Amino acid sequence: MLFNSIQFALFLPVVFFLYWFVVNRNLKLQNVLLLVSSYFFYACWDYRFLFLLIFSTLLDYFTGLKMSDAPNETRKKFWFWLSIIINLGFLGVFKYFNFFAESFAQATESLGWHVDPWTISVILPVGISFYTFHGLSYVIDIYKNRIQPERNFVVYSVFVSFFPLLVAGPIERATHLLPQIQKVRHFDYIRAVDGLRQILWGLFKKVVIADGCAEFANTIFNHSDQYSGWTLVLGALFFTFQIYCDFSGYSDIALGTARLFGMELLRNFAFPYFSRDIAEFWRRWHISLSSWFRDYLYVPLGGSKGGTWMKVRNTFIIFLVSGFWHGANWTFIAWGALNAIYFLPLLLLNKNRSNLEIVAQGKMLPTLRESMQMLITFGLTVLAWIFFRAESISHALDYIHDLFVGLVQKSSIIEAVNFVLMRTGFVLPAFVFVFLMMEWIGRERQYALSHIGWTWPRPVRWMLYLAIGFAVLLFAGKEQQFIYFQF
Amino acid sequence: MKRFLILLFIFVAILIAGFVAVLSRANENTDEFYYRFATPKQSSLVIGTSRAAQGINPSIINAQLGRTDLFNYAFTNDHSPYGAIYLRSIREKLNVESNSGIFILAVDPWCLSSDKQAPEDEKFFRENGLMLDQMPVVDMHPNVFYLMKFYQEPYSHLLTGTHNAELVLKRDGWLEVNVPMDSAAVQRRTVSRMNDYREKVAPAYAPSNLRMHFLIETIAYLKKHGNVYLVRLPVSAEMKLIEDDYYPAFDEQMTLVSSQNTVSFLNLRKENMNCTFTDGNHLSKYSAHEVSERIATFIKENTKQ
Repeated sequence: MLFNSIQFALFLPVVFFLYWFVVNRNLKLQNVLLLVSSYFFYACWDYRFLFLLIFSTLLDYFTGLKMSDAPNETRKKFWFWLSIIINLGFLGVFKYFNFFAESFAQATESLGWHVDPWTISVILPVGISFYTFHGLSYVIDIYKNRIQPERNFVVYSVFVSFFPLLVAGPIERATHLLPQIQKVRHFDYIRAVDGLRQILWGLFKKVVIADGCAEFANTIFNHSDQYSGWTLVLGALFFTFQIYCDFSGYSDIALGTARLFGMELLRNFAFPYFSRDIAEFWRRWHISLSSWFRDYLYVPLGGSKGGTWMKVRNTFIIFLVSGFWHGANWTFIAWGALNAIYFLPLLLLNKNRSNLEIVAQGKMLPTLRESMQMLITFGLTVLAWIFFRAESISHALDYIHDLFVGLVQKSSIIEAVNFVLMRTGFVLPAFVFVFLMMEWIGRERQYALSHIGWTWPRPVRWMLYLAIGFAVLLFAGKEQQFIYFQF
Repeated sequence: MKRFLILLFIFVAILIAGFVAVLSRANENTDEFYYRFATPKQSSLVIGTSRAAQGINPSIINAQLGRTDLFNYAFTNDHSPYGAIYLRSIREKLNVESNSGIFILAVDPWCLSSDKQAPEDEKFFRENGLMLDQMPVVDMHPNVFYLMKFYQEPYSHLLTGTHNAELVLKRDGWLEVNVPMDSAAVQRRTVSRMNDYREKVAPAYAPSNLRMHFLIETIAYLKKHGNVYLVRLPVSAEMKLIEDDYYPAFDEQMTLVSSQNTVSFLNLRKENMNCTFTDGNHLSKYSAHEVSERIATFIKENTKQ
C-alpha cells in the first residue's frame, strides 16, 4: 500500500475515524488499533514477511528485557550479541547474501578459478533496513543503560511497526517515540491541520516533482550512450530532484500522517540542497540515518577525537557503511566513498561545523559567497548521485566521461535544447522552479509549506492549497513506487 | 474535531469536484481503450482481438449497410480472446433490448488458444486479472473505474488533450494506427512481430477446446440479439505460414462451427486481397477500409431477413 495510492487514501480515513471516534481516550485501545492497522498496512505488501517483522519485534523485545534483568555483565552481553547477530543476520541474508556470493565468484574468477556462485532467490522484505535499525538502536540503548526496556509488548510493537514510518523511516529512537506511545493522545486541531498540510506538500513533491523528473531521468540514464554533455547534465539534475522529492516527500507524508494521530516523528530532511558544504549537506539529508550512524557507529569507533588516521578511517567507514546500507551494489559504495572524499578535507581542516545556522537566516537572498558555496556543494552532490543512479560503476564512469567530454561540444547544447523542447516541455521545469522558490522561502521552517500563506486571508491560503492539491491529482497517473522502499 | 472534519470535507469536496470535471474531458482521444468503455450499451458489435480492433472499421460497414449502430468492441490478443471474461464484458456492453443487431466475430488461431501447460484450465487464461476482468462498468462517461485504474498517463493530459497520435480510437471504436508505412519500417516491424509469434507465442500456446466452447457460447448469446458472422481476417504470407504450421485444421474447424451454429463464415485469408499490413499481423488502415467494405458486402449477401 503506497502513500500515493487510492488504497492508502481509503485506509487512512478509516484508521483516523476509529482512532479518534471509537478508541479515543483509551491508551490501550489506541495502541492496539495502531498495531493492528500497521500490521494490516505491512501485510498489504506481502503477508509472509509480516512474520519476519513480528519475529524481529519479539526478538528485540525479549532480549531487551533479558538484558535488563540479567544477573551479571556476561549474561547481559550474551543477550545483546544474540540480538545484534540475529538482526544483522536477517539483514545480511535478505539484503546482501547474493551480493557477497557474486562478488566472491568474480574475485575468484579474476584469480583464474571459476566458481559458480550459489545465490538464493529472495525477495527483499520491504522496510527491513528501517525496522532492523529501529530494533538495533533500542537494544544498544538498553545495553548502554541509556534507557529502560519497555515491558508492554504492544507499546514496543507500535514503536517498531507504526505504519507511517514502517517501510521507509524516519528511523526513530526509543527515547523519542516510546514516551509518545506510552501516554494517551488527544486530538489537537492545529497539529492535525499541520499534518494535513505536510501530507499535501509531501504528495506534491512525490507526484508532481519526483515522478515527473523520474520519467526523464530514466530515459537519459537508461540510454546514456545515446546522449552527450548537456543532456547528461539534465539527466543528472532530473535524478537529483527525483531522489530528493521522492524520499523527502515520503518523509513529509509519514510525519504528517503521524501528526494526525497525535505523534511527532523525527525530522528527516532540512532543505539539503541549500547547504554550503558537504558537512552541512549531511546534517540536512536523511537526518535520522546520518544521526543513527553517528551515534551507533561513528562515536563508538572514536569519532573525530583520535589522530588524523583515526579521523580518516572513521569517516570512510561511516560513509561506506552508509552507502552499503542503501543496497548491495558497488555503485552505492562508490557513492559513499565519493562523499567521504568530499567530507574529509572539511574534517581535517576543522571546517566541518562551520555552517551550522540556516543559510541567509532572516534574509530574502543569500550573499554572493553563500550562493557560490551552495552552487559548488550542489554540483558535487549531483556528481555523486550519478553513481547512486547508475546500473554499475562502469556505467557511472562512462556517463561522467561522456558528460564532461560533451560539455564543450556545440552539438551537445543543441541536443539538450531539443530534449527540453521535444520531450520535457516547460511545465515540469516551471514546477521545479516554483518548488525551489517555495523551499527557499520556507527553509527556516520544518517543511516548506509550513508557514507559507500563514498571514493570508483564509480563502487566498485555500486557493494555494487547492492549487497544490489539484496539481497532485492532475499529475497522478500510474502509481510510482518510492525509491527508498527498495532499501 | 468538528471544525477540522467540516473544513476537511469542504476542501476534499472542492478537489474531487475539480477532478471529476477533468475526468469528464476524457474522450475518444484519451487512449486506445478508454472510449470503448465510455459509450452507451450497443446493439451491434465487432468482437475479436487487435486484428479486429484495427482491421474492421464500423463506419465503412455502417455506411454500406445503411446502419449507424455497429461498434468495435475488440481489444487485444491478451485482453480479449474468447473466454468467460470477454463474454461477460460483451453481455455488459450489449443493449439487450435490441434483437436486430449485427455481430462480427473475428477468429484466428490465437484467440482460440491458451497456455500450453493447461489449455483447458480457465485459471491459466491470459486475460485473468487484466482490464476486462477488472472493469465493473463498460458504459459510463466519464468511466472513473477505467481512468482510476487503467489510464497510464498523468491526468493533466486529459486537461491539455495530449494524446498518442500513433493510436487514435475513433468514436465507432475502430483503432486507427498511424505508423510509418515505408517498406523499411514495415519490414522491421514485421520481422520483430513474426519472431515474436514464431519464438514466443506459438511455442507457449496450444489450441483450447474450452475457448472454442466459449466462442460457441458467445455465438449462441449474440444470436438472440441479431445476426452473427464469423470472419477470419487476412494476414501476411509470413504469418500465414506460422498459423498453418501452428493450427493446420483451423479453417475446417471454423467451417464446422459455422455450420453447426448456423452462422456465416467469411474466410478472407482465402480471398486474393492485396492487403498491406503494419507488421505482418495487423491490417494497415488503408486495407482495413477495403476489408471492411468486403465484410459489408458479405453481410448484405448473407443477411437473414
